[in-house]
Amino acid sequence: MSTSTKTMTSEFRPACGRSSVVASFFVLLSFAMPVVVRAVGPSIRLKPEHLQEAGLHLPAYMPTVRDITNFQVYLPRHQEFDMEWDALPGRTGMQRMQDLEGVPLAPNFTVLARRRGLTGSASGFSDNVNESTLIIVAVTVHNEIRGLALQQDPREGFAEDVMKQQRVDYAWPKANFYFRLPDDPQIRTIIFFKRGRTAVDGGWPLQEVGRTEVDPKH
Amino acid sequence: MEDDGCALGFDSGTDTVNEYDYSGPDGLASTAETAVQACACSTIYFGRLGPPPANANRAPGALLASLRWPVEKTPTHGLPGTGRHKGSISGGKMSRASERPEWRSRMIANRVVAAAVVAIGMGAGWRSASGQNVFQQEQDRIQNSALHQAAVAAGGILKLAKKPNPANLYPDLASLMKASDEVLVVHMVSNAGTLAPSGSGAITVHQALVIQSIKLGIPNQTIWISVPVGTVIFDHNTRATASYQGFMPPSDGDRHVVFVRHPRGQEQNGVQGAFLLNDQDQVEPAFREDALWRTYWHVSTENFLNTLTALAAAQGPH
Repeated sequence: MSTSTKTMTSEFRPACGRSSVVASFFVLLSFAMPVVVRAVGPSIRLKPEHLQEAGLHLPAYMPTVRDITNFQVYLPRHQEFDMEWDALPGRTGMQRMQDLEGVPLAPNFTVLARRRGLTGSASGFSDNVNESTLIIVAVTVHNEIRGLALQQDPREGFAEDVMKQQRVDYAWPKANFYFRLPDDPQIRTIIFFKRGRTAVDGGWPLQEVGRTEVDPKH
Repeated sequence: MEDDGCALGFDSGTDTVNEYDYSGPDGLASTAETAVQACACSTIYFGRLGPPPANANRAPGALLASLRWPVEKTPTHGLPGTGRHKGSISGGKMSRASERPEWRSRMIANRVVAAAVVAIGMGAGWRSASGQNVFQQEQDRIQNSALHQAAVAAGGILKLAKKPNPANLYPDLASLMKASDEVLVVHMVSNAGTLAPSGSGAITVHQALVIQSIKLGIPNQTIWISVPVGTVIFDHNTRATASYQGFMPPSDGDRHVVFVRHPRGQEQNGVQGAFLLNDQDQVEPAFREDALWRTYWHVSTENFLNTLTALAAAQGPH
């Protein structure tokens, strides 16, 4: 009897422990969410109009961002880029975001490595964009969009004090990051965009933060 | 009729141009450097709606990838009993694992996984061996082909030029579409030059992703398309090159509207037209020797696709 009790205890204890941890995580998250939402701002859905305002265009046979996603997911080959972004030259160490208000981001993007002809699809992406999203657009000579990647700005992060419901956003001056795009020889330029913190004229125009030319033969 | 990359076959009458001689019904010039064939159509593509052809294994990296993957996929890392898992037992201490009931089930599960991995690896090895055989067979076919012999007879470099028979060109999109089983917007992914199925010509096999299917509505498939132009390199001194008058072959990254149909007789498959969609949303017909070229040169892509969609709707499926 004692053995049976012991066995049950040992079986159920970890489960109870895990569920309590999960429960407390969600409780804490519910406290933190108002702060998080307030700090990051509203998300918008990336639309072709945003890209057109930036001087780019989607092909007539792929008129939506969703079409680009579907295309990338089914492509049998992709390429990968290792990049470095020195956005705040001259600064070192972690910077509070509030200290960087109005400080322009330098367009110092450097391709550290490029791997082409890799088997597998270029990844899809969520089309939700907030101010922390880095939008990576690959275009041809005539600015036709041939690849898209949306990911978190690699320089940015935040720290939270859940009990005090405080959040501190910070950014690193320089960051290395990685992304994958379709392996398309027609891609000549990769342009990096961010969305502003505040709406302009009722919209959320994309702001180019840098670009890099790519050699189609490399 | 010769099956050499032209979907409708070649006209029995062949032309000789300029000072070059043409000999033989298969388009090969046994004594001259260049021979010209008349094609019966504006249909200059093969299309393959299905698995890749055997010679697609010649695409760079394809065979290598198939040989390599079982090694990469072997999930030894992190398995109990491999010595890499935290708390795992290794080096003659396996008995301790069996003392813990929660580990015993994991050990059994891991052995099942390991057995599955070995079985899959053996299967992949067999498949790789099959791939090697296919590759070797294709190499043998290329080396023993009539094209190789013709290239050797021509002094090492053989150039084949073909031209269309104007009498057999399709006059408009409607007739071209009617003769096609499918009309696709495709993205060219990769290509490899190889020997034509007839053994007497050079073709280029393109791997393409379907972006839009206009007739049947089945997008997102990967297909293989061949064009009757390309170069076969037999060795460092011997090669054969085929070209087609008025045809601009696709490059990787191009987007095309292609007209395809299923094989008839000895044909492999057919694509009956090719229209480049450039990055300024304009159409550039890849074949520039017919009326379609003059009609649709630099027409907007949107209007062109709308026209095709309307034609497909009007004609209905086969």
